[in-house]
Amino acid sequence: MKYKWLVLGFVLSFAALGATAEGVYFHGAAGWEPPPLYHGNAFAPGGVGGAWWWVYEPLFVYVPGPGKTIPSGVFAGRDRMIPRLGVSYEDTPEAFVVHLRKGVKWHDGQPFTSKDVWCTFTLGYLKHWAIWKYLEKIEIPDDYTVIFRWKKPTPFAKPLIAANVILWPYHIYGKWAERVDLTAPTDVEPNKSVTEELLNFKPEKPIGTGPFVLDKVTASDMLLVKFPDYWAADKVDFAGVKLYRWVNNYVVWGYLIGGELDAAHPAARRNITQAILSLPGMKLATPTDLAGFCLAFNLRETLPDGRPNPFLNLKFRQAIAYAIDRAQLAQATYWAGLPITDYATGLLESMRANWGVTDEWMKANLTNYSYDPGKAAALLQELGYRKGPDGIWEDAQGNDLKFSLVAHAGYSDWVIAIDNIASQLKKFGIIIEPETRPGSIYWTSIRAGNFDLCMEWTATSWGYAHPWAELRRTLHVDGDTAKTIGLAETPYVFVGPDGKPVDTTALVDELGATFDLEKQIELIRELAWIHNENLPVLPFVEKRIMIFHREGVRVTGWPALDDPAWLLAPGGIERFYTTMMVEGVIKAVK
Amino acid sequence: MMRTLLGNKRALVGAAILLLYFFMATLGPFVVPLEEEQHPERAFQPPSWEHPLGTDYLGRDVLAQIVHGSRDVLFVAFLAALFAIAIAVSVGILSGLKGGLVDQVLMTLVNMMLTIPHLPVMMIFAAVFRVRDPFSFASILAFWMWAGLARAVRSQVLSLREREFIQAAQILKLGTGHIVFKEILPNVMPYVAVNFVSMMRGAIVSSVAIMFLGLAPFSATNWGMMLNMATIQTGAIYIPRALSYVLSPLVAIMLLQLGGYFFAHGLEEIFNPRLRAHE
Amino acid sequence: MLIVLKRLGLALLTIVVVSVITFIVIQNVPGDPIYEWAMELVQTSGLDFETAYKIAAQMYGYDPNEPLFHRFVTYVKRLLRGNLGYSMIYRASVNEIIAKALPWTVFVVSISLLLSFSLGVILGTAIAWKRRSLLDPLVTGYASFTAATPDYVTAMLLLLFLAIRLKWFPTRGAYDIGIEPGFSLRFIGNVLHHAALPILSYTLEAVGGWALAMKGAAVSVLGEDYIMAAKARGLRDRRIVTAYLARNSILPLITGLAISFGGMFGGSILIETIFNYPGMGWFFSQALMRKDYGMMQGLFLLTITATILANLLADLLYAKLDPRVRLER
Repeated sequence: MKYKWLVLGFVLSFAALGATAEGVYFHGAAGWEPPPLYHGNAFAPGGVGGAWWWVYEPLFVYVPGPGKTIPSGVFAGRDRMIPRLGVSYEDTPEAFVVHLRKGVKWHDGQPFTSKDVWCTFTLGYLKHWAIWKYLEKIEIPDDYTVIFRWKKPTPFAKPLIAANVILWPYHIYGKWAERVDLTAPTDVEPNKSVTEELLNFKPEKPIGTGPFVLDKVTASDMLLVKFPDYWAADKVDFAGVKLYRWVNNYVVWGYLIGGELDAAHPAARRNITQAILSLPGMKLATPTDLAGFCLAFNLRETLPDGRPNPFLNLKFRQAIAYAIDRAQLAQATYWAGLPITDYATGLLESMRANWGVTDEWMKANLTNYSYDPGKAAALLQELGYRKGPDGIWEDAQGNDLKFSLVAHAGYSDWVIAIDNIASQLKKFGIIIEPETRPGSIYWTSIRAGNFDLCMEWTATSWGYAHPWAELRRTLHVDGDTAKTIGLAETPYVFVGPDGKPVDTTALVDELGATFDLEKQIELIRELAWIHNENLPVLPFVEKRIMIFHREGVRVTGWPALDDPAWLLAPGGIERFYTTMMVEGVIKAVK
Repeated sequence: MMRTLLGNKRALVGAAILLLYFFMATLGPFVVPLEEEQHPERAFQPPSWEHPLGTDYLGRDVLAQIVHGSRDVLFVAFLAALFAIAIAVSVGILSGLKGGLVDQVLMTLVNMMLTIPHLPVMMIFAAVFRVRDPFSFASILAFWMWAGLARAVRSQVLSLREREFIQAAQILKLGTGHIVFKEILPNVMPYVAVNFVSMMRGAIVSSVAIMFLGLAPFSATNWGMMLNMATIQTGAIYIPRALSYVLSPLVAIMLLQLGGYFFAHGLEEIFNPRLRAHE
Repeated sequence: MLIVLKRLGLALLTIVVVSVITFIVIQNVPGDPIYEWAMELVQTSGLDFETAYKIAAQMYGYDPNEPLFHRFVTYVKRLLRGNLGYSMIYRASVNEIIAKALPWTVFVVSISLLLSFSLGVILGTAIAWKRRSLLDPLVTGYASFTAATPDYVTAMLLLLFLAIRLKWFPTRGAYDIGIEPGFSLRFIGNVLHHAALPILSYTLEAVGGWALAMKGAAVSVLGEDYIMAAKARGLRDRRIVTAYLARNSILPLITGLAISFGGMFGGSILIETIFNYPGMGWFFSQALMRKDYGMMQGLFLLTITATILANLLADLLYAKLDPRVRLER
């Protein structure tokens, strides 16, 4: 009896697969919370999810490069701004003035005005948006002008303005925005109760101004349809977007191999990549992810077990750098990344040349740490270590060189990296005990100094795409990797190019405040020198996003693989897809 | 007894499989060294003479990992079963010999433990406590496995208590220690032995499941971890060439379970002639 | 009657004790789930870690410094108002999640249970009746094989071969989003297509066990006088098997069926995770991985309550159905 129905069910569902919706849907993958957790308020956890860049728009889209294929936008020296809700801007040290697009509508039909921008950035204060470090207030002289007034001038005005989408319309969220006190901290009244109320506000769907409207959400799919009143509706060639829920990379590989997606960016090992690329029309773009991986040394007075800390000695750190074949390490850890094999500048390998740190300059000024076990051995001998009969280096007292190396258990590439480093150093004669720690305690434990060697991020410039953010990570006392290595408390003295002790924090701050490009390059070079010659961490790979995209099935017109337009991807891959659609670069296959 | 064992084909097959795994776990790691070096360029190779079960995502020999994994899996399961048996036997004997309030409290506890679904609790415990070594892992598993056996041991003790040799020992005032170790333990041992194998089987299923979900990531060669790697982490499941890598841990678990099942059933038939008559 | 009350009391006591223990264990977790979340914020919004941590802590629905007892009182108060738990990360009641997830689990598991139970009963009766047929060793062999393979291994193999390699079935989800949920043939067909592999995994695993249990029960019934009498009266085989043999030997299996129904809430974790099927088990493993302790607690409470009550029900039912059985103590 039951079987009959089952069979009938199969037959029917196969029939159902044959039916198609009218118009071309872009097929992508993204994460969101499954219903009933899903809701449409970006302020509270569980809100909006992968619909983000499809339903919302920023004032401008910022590209840290020229962008060959994007028709609109202003290219100025190193970067360009593509107009979306803003049409033009004036950038001065005192204020950033934005002129808004007219005739834009929210998905519920209400007109878009400067009040919505004010409302969004005001509530952004409660979310500690990075821009509020520099922002004093927002003025709205009329419906289509917004003035961002700085309390301290910032060279990063453009990326900061462009980092956030306009996501809280005044006609819904205004009642909360009006109550926010911009002079008080976020955890005191009235801000505290506004936050609390916003966290508990859960409308069913997000309301944005973007090209697509959220239609349906389930635990496995999300369906967005084209917004008919969108200001550039004529350029958007797709009837809608179908998103597959991103449970983990493994599930997304399956969708890609099955030919179900037009684009997705799961990091994949070489064999999986080959399997995906074997589909006709499938291509792989690999723009930088604006971050890299490094091996971090503990630079505190003693190691956690009380031993005196050999990493305080620069030559010892250099010996480790020479002893590791970083090309091999990078290959095993993140094969699609950009290996960093010779130097250790603390800058993004793919972007450094734009900022004066060219190959020639490095060759002339920096120590080259490319793989050389002979040099490593010589350095250790110079420091008084001897190789024991078992092939392991020993100190003067006859103790084996033996260190722990920890990684975040949830980052599978880091787990592979520590195994790789352990086996390389074992061959060289240093015992490394790899250890993984669950994410819930990893960051706490390493920032408390509870490690000998560990895996960390380096050269992160999320949200800024500027060397200032990259160098700040490790060389400024407030930087996150600086906290891991113990920059604030280390007895090790950083030395500058002039051979004198140097305050790296002050230099980083100076870099973050200067508008003068020449001066910026000078400071970047100095800090790169300090990073390389003092070697607080050993970077080995720059992370790149692996964007698989399929040409000719449903979508056509993807930019060439080396087009700087791909630099839109880090920090919001859908920002890239939507911009390409709104600019009319990618089109539907009819 | 040996003769009965030889006569029972299923038990014999089971014993042979278990013996194979035993040697694999004890001697295997010395025969097949674990490759620590990574060769990404040789990843996901199909079976060959050099790598009878193919290679994994870093080009390392899968057979070596299965062999080394068998040691991890069996060791955790052995410990878990040992801990569980220790608790079960002590609780069972204590409850059976003392009787009264002690018996009532302990049996209420046992009844409680028996009604709790094991896997979800084990998972919560494994996720919450940092499982980093086989001992803590085995303790978490064992904590939820002892109750059934404890009840069985208790009823054995209850029936033994009425037997002549125990009553004689009591009259002779030979002491509780003597009664427990000389009279009762030898009599419940065969029963415990049968249960030991079943408990190891249970522990293997749970431990591999927990590892597969990535809740106790402390041993890279545990089969559960291999499965986790082959599916969620590296996607070998999508690569037709890598079929042997994905199937190896699955088949290893299946075969071991089958061996344990046959052996335990065979033993039961031998120790419990009533069952044999039933067949 | 007293025995029934005593049993009920024990069941309630078990539920209370277990939930208190898990509460304490979960609340005393080492490490800090806020960290993980803060790190995510750092990467997505370019904040520095301290600010991100502050935001994450603010969004988190509870104060880690509140004393354990206080938190327990809040928890019990919520519980008494019928709220099984509270997801600290999403600030949502676990009841909502259960309302969404439970129907899928009940759907899949009840179909599988009925399917495997009926198949098992038929097979078991058949091999008990015809002792010398070829079916007996086949079914017994199959049963020992499935008893030896964990259910997640079966599920993985089905996923690998039927969904990924052959593409006969979808790999995830409960239905396609393009189809409007409703009482249409198209929707029901789609739902069944998605549920097929989870159902198959459960059924393949369970059918052997039911068959063996049924065989055991039937064999003992076969020796009873009324079967002999029926044979002597010259009744047709078919009638003896259905009216006497099956009907009487099915009794002891009913309890097993009740227990299985109770256990289905917890038993689905791995299968639902493997097929990405949004039922109770799937949400449970999500809670485990995200370390959402409130959600874990709530889902777990429902699981043990269901299991324990099903056990109780099974015991009482059995005593009722079979007057020869007396409840112990």
